[in-house]
Amino acid sequence: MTQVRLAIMSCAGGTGKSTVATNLAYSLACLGQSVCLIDCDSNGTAALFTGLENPSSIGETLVAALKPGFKGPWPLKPVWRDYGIEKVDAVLGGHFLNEGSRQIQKEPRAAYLLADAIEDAPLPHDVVIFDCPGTIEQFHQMVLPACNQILIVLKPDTKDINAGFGLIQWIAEFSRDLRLKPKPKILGVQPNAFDKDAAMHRECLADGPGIEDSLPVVLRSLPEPIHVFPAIQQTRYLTNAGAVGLPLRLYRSDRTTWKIAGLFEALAKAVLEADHG
Amino acid sequence: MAKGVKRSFTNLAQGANTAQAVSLLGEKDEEIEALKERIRQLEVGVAGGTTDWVWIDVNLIEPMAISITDGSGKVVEVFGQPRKFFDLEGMAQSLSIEGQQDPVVLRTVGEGRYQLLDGETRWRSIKDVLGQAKIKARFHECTDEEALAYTLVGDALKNRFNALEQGESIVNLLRSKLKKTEQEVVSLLYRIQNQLVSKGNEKEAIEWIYENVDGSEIVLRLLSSLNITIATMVNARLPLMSLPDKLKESINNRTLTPSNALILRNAPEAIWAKAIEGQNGTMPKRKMKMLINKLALEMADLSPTLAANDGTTIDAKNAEVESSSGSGDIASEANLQRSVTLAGAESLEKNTNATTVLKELLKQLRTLRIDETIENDDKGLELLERVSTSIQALSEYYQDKGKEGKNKRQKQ
Ligand SMILES: Nc1ncnc2c1ncn2[C@@H]1O[C@H](COP(=O)(O)OP(=O)(O)O)[C@@H](O)[C@H]1O
Ligand SMILES: [Mg+2]
Repeated sequence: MTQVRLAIMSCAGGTGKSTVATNLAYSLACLGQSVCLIDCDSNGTAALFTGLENPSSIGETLVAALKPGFKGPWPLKPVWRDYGIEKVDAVLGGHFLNEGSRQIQKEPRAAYLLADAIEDAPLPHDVVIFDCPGTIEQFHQMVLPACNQILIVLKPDTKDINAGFGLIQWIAEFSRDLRLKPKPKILGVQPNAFDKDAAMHRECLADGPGIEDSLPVVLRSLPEPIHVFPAIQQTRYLTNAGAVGLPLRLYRSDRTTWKIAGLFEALAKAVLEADHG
Repeated sequence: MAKGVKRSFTNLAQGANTAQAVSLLGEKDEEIEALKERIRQLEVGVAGGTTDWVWIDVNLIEPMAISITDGSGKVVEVFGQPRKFFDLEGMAQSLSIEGQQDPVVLRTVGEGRYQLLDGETRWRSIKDVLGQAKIKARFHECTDEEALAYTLVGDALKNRFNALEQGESIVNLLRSKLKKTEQEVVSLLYRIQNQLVSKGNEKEAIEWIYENVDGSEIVLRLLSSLNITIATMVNARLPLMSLPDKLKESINNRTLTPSNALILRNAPEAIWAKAIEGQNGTMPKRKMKMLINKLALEMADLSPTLAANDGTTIDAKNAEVESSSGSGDIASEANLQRSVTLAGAESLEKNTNATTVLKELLKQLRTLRIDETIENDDKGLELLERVSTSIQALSEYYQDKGKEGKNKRQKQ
């Protein structure tokens, strides 16, 4: 089977990309998949959410793989082994990426460095997840040629959705500019931090007969229709789990977290079932 | 857009919509290229000594026309050849040099009357430009529907169609097959596409649609035989059909590419003519976007703002702003500074009147040409980008200043 290389993107910070990335990695592992989580964000959240120490040198981060002619090995860190999870690894990001960014700028193949690294030194994992930064900068651009699927995470409010449309436009334009063949597919949009008491949230996500202007309806009518996954609700359990470096299910396993864990599991299945070209 | 009204998602998604449609159109072009190559190879494979042609009097031939009748047999509409552009002079030239290589294809429609399935350009050049009496022809007898399909498939494969003509001719073909109006065919296409999207493009979903949506099987099978997906049809062909007539005309006479038409649709109509004239309409889409930018800026009437703000001066050398209205809004000061730097204000004197800066920028803009003179010249494009960003920044600055002035006056 072709390796799944999923980019988790949004056009804003704090929408829950890293939360989705880490919980998804866990759910995929539970389905028997080996997963590599690559942190492409200089805020280093992935280390925090996986309970790993911050990298102590640039060589322990993604930057190590972006040298032209990189042949491996990848700086992989094992994740959640103490909890019986055997097959999840992470490549760390964090502030070293800023320094890396300055070096990379001068490379003629800047936009393709990550894709090159994966081609020349293939990762053995079934699934690679790229946890992207919240703005379209160098690392974000580099992920596009490296991935074959994209998941867009956003809060169901007008600001995030507007930025999301901007991201969809950028994906179409940049894929074309870089002449990506095949170009990555947008797996879907994942609404996160849904507050069922907020009228705006409900309106944004409305769907069904008679609804003409909502996120699902408009995304469905695009030239390349985009699927909307069921929303993940706002809950302090997710915040707390992230803060101690665990996926929700390992942090707390009872009926209160059952529903959200179910959403991540369904998302994991959708990732595996998608067509990866 | 009225203030205080929430913008619709449909409106917010417009940029994404256009970007995806443009990208799909590009892919379609590549697909057609691949198909063409396959056909060429096939033709080479079977061509060797086709002798099954005859000479036919050009006056016994008529262009393709297919009549649609209603239940009572009354003719309600006649479809002609879907293609609208014929390069007769070019064809005549090549015919007089090489002679007629390929026979045209005809079907019999009555006693000694023949209709063209393929070769309208050759026929018209031989008859009207070269004034010859006979043409080499082959026969392929078929029904009306087959005839339309034959022309359609033939032309599509030989890439004589553009995306708009392809869309229109497929809709026409479906109308003749399904005996429906254009509007009915279009809504049927949308309905099938919506069902496919909401049910997933799976086998069961398609079977469900075959059973529950009248005519869907004919539509999907026809599209698949033409190698075009329903998504492409609905999203990259139907939008072209709903373009304003002016833009459609330009697409049909090949002075405007379909992707540029989609971009141009969202620009003010007043600039269309200039954006299409000469080779402009067929420029790459990046240049088209710039041209639209430039034309819109040239057209904008900046004179009231120019007059109202004549007091503002700029220390161009140090790109500092000394506005007559005091310190002003920091954001717009920054805008102005940026624009002065961008515009290469070294050429301007110290303490230049801001109006002079704006006028100088407009002058630079007018002399800039985006057509073939700066073909592949990134410097030219960069200059345009610089000038247009600066003008935008400057006029934003002016607008802010204008508002500020107004507020002050109101307070007094
Ligand atoms: N559904 C949710 N409910 C509550 N808190 C959430 C939820 N999703 C994310 N958070 C919290 O919001 C903050 C930002 O999330 P994060 O995943 O880091 O976003 P991003 O990676 O997009 O910047 C974190 O503190 C995270 O724990
Ligand atoms: Mg993050």
